[in-house]
Amino acid sequence: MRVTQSYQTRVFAANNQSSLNKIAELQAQISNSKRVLDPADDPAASSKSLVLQQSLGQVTQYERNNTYAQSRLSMEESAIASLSDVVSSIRELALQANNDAMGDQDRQTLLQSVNMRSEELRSLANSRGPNGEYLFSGTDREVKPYPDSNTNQYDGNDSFQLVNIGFNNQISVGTSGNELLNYDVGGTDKSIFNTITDLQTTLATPVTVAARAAFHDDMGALLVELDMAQDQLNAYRANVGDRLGRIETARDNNGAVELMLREELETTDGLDYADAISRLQFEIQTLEAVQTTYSRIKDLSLFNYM
Amino acid sequence: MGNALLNGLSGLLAAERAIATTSHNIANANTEGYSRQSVTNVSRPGEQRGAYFEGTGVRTASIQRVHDNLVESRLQTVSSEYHRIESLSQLTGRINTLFVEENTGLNAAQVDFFNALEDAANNPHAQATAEHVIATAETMASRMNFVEGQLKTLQADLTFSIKSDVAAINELSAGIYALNQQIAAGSTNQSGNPPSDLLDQRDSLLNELSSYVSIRPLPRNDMGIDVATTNGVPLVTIAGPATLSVANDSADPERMSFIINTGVGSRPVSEPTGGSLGGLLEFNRDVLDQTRSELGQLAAGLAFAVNDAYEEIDPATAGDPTTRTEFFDQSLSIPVGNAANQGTANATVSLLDPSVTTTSPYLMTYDGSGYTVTRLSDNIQVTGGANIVMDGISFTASGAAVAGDSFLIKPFAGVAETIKVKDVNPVDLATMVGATAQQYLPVSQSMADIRDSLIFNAGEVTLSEQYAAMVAGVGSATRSAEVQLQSMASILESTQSSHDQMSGVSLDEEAANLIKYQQAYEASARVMVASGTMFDTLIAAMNRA
Repeated sequence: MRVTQSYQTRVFAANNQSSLNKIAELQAQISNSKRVLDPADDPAASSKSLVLQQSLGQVTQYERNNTYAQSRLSMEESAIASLSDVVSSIRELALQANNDAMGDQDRQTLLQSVNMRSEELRSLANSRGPNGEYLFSGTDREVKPYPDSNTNQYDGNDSFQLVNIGFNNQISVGTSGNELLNYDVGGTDKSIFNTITDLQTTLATPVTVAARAAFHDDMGALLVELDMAQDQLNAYRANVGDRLGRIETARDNNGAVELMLREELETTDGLDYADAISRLQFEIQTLEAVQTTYSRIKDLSLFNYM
Repeated sequence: MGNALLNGLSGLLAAERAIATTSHNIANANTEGYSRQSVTNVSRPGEQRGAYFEGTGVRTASIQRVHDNLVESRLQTVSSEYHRIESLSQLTGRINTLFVEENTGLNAAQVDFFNALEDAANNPHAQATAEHVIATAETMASRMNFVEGQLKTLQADLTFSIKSDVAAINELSAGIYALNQQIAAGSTNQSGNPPSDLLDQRDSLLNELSSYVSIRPLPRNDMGIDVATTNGVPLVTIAGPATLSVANDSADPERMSFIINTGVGSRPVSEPTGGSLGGLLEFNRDVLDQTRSELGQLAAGLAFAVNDAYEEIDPATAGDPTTRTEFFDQSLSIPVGNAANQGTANATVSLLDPSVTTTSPYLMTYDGSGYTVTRLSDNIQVTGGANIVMDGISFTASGAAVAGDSFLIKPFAGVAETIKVKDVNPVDLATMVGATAQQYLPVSQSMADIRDSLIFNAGEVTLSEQYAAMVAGVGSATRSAEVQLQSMASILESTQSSHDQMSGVSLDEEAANLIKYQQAYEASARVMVASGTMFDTLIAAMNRA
């Protein structure tokens, strides 16, 4: 091989440039603490990293959704517990009234208590949630479910919201008043408010000795209905409790998933510092060697001896 | 004795020429494109002196450059390929940088938008939450606008680069033509001894020309060289340099068509290939258009799905594309009529189903009785009347067309620049929608569900997967260009090295030559001195006699 000056210069320039390029790239990786700085560095990894970041964003949202669902369901649970307590106390009053020792006057007094309890029940059925929305009007959150004490009419809907609480994990939020407070009485759909109105009517009516048997029959039927209401509330409360339990589990899972995603993201485009720094040292040594040899070689010339 | 003087003189002159050549080599050691020159000396024929021949000294037969035509032409080919990939790699690299998430934030913007929608679904009547949805949607749209804006700028830069490459090609062609003429004149004057330095200069120009476009030089008998591009466009002929020019393509204003003027008239020619110009054209065709279409497809698909959910807030107009209530303002790009169209017809396109769309351009043509839509990526056609549905897009022509009229449609090009959030009232996001009593929810909920819906690729791919795949595509194209560039750089390097080994100047070699010729010069001078002394001796002897 015939070595010429231009050949030497070209080889030096190319080697020098390639060393400098590698050093610059390692420097950029180290200062960003990332191995993949742009999509071309590793197309598959950068695409995977985008998907992982989307998933991380979703986990963040799941946690927000969990907070929302948890506070909402907790309020539902305590409202349902209170509803159950009120129904229970109305049942106590009905039981007291269903006694022949009670006169019309006594029943009037009990009726006053039932009326008060009834108002309490209505206001609990119109409870509001964490964002001021009604808890028991389905998804019609701005609609007061039981506005009118005269008609007992339900103004909400029967829809529910499915909230994402984790990957492939949804929970229903939003309770329809119908679902919570209605039950089937001999083939007709009846709400707790209908039962209480019936109870109020029965208590308000004076009972003659001859009507006692019929009164006991009516009261017996109403007590059965109150039992049904209570059972339904307790069953629904258990259901809400189950959902709160699922949220707890989902939160634990999300924590684990988030950790896993972060670790995966780290291995996808993160930088192995020890490796990067040792490669940087190696490249710097190479560059020094390239420059030193060139500076020695370029001084070699026959002209020095002439 | 007389011969010795003359022989000494011839040696002196030859050594002087050799030293001159050596000094020329040394002076040009760093001249780009210079080929070292070497002196060839031959002995002069002897004179007959009775039974023998007496030598008559030395003569310089030629001073020629050391040069290999094969290496030279390989250098041109390699240089064309290197510069093609270099411009492809640089431009693709610019797109690549655009899709660095830290810079663009398109991925994060999508996450924010859908998260905001879920928050709104959880708390539909909070004004701040609903306004946040609109703010995140605007951020997402403006980031798309920004990226597409940058791609469009790149398109404009590309046009400029193509024009300046063409100007450089014309300048180089003219230079080569001028050197052809000087070389031909020089060769005839100097009895066939070629002017090495002019040949070097012409080789330099040819080399430079091949960095712009792939060329095929054709040597002529008069030492001139004709030059054509490898796909046959003449650039230099014996008649003169040709002038290459560009004009906007009549079918596609975003493309250039090429015209050559050889001095006797102009004619359109096919796109040159290779070199930086070839790289620019290839990038425009294969990378830039594709990326813009993919981004537009993403934007249009997103807007379509969101609008499809949002239109339900007004059931009376839902489903009617002209009157429905929309969240995003999105329309496909307007078809471009060929500049040569005879009729007055117009074409419009609208999106029907994002899951079956492609990123190919389409051509809608009229044959006198009906229309045909051709998907240009594979030339699949659908024939019909003035309204044709193909690949989830409705193509509609209106007005009077003349047979042969055509429209070019790049449905998604530029969509990402025009997408924006309409004048949405935040309160409307709480509007309850739903067909059944069991699924009666605020519209923000059904909009949030789009995050996981399979909008793209035959209903198999979500929005975020589509975006990630697109970024991977851009990354792969850039990576592959970078890898090719690295390997071409080492091929170019080794070709240049073999050129340098053959034709480059070695200063040590020249130093040795200098010593050799200096010694020859001194020896010849000594011969002349000796011959003078001999003459003096003879004269002195005659004086004594």
